[in-house]
Amino acid sequence: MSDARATFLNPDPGQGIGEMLALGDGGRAAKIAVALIAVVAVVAGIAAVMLIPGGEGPSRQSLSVYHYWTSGTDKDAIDALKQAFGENREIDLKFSGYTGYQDKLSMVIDSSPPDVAAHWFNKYYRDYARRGSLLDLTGFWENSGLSQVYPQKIQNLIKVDGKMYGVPLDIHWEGGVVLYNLRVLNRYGISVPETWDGFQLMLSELKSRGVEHPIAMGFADAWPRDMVFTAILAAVGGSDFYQDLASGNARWTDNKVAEAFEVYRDWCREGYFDPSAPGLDWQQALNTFINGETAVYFMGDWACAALKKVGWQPNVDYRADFIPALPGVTPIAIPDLEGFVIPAKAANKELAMEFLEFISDPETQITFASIKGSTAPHPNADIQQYGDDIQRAMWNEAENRDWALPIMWYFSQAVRDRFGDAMYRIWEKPSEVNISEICASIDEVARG
Amino acid sequence: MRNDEKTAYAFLIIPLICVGFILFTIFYLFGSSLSVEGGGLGLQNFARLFTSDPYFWPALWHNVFWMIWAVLIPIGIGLIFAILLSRNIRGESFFKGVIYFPALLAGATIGVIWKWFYLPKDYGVLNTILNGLGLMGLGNPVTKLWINDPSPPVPFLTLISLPIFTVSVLFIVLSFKPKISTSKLCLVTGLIGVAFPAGLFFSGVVSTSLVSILLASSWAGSAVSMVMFLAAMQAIPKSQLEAAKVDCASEGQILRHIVLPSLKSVIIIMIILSAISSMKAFDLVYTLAGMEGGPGHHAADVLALYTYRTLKTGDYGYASAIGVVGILVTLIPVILYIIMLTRRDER
Repeated sequence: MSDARATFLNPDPGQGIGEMLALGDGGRAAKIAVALIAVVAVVAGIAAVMLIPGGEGPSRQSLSVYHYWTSGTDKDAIDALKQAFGENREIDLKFSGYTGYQDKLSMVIDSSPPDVAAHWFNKYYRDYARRGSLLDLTGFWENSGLSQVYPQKIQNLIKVDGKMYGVPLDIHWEGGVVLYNLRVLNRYGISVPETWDGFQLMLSELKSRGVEHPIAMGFADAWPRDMVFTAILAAVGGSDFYQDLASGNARWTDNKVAEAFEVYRDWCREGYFDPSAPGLDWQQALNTFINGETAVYFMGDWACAALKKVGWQPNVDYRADFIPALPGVTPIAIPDLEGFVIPAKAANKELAMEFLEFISDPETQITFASIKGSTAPHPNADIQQYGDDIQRAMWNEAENRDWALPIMWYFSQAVRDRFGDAMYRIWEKPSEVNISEICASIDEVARG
Repeated sequence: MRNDEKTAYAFLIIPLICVGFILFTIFYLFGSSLSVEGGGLGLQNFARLFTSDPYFWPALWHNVFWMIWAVLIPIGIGLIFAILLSRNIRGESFFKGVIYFPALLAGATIGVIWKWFYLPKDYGVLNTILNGLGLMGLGNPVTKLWINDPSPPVPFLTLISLPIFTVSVLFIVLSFKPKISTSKLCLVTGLIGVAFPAGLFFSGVVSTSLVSILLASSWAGSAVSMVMFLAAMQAIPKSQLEAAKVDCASEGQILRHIVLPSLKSVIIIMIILSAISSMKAFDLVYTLAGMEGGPGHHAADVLALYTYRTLKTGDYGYASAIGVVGILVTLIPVILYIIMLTRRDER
């Protein structure tokens, strides 16, 4: 046993703690230091206790809102919303924006949630609703008249097992949207295609004319890659099959899915995509569009706001439209529907409801959408007041179509992982993959 | 029991409570890993993990390779820096400060810095430099992607890594004073240093994506190693060095017979601590390669990131099982460390 240990456990009988710890006269500085530390610890402890909120929860005068609009026009839009809601209200508004939002919310929604949370009406939303993490807002919809105002196609996207758990705020056209680089198309005398065959012809024409990789793509994040498949599936599968697959009435092994993968594989084989795609995020891919390296981009209409910011004019420099569908196929519109939910354990539900009433107002939605570059879902929010020609054209077209959410929003993370692997394998070695095997692999996980 | 003894043991209460909490969470983790759907306990999570999970084994091998890399590369580079900076060169303090700077940064910060370094096309610093040197076409045609390239490491990365592997193995072996000629030693370590990592590089286990991330981790790891070795070198008795010089020993002989053997215990500690920290790799992979741990079959996925991803799906039992496997693998270097400490105490 070492000397130090022996002394500590078997000190001289005459030794006290002070001597044992060598805190004799020579240790005065050490005594003072220990005393100071003890005082600081006590003061810090008292201060911490005083600062910890009491058990009654926050007063009515405070509202915490979580969102994911953290940059650019998105941030400008939510800031405007905050300012408008805070006007003439004596409340302390805490708007917190997060990247990695889905992760953040999933960690706090059942433990220390905000009063109101922005959310997409995706699988996470439905999972939260089914496990009781969200407040049932069916009564709110009835009492505020929203269920009489909103068309059924919008309510269907929000309804979970017959109940409403969120309120919509804005729409981005996401799935099946194609941005056309009119500067590049005009250079080669190519017009925007109206048909599926025309679309395919346009791509091969661009390639043959020297546009090495006509389709912009960046899938450093998974979702831009998912959008390419969503667009192809919408074009070849149409509304009926798309909704069947989303609801589980069709399988990933069905012919239409294989056909969509085959189109994607053919595009990869032809070299239509930028080989740097795995390392690019969506904005870097948009740069290739702006730089004239690419002519087509499968991206949501929020990219239009980014193009306008660099001075591009709609229908002059770019155009956005739904992808043309195969002949005989009923086209579908795929909105990225966003809104707000109230967590079941929110501390301030009353004020949260007031916030939901505020965002349900058409004027609020118009303010938000006009800054963000999105579309207001409220039927009384007149798009003539804020939209550009492209937005109006797409809204008019979408009103005549069935609606469904982006296809991956209906599936679990395990399916998304398997799907992501498949998309990468096809991208990496398009001539070597077996599409049937890929479809079967995804179907296996989707069936659980 | 005397009062002083009682007081002494009383001081142990708080540490014991802390240990109790830690043990509770560990046992909870083990228990959670055995929980199965529908209630009850069983080994189904582990069975699924070992037999039908396509992401587990790649992630585990990535961690094992990370361990090998973390043990050799930062230690080798740190030793080189320490040897160079112990020679009273001009600007020594400046170089020490610059080389040590990365050790002050958080892992996520290092990830953000290197992310910009590795950006594809001509957005990234590395590609810009290579382009300027006329080296963009070197090796693999998708060289430009780095972090997002799941293919085997390009010759460029292999050429950089192999000499450092070799030097690191050489230094570590020399610290144990082997009775073998220097030329034979160089031959053997050269073969090990080249063949072993080259084999791994081309086995499909290791990707350009993973090696790119490991280079970023070595940036800070080398700094810490350098400081540890510099401090240990200060403790080498000057009389030994002077005696060696008097006996006309060359720099190489002094390095081989005095300096490196004196660093043996520090090298062993660094090896074990690096091995332990390699199993905890998360922040760098997350910031550089994203939630999926890289493209195509999760080219740079590691166990900690996979555990986190699985937790997000709500399958807590399965995530716990992955965590348990990670702990058991980490225990190997931990046990070695404890054995080493115990033997040192006994001596």
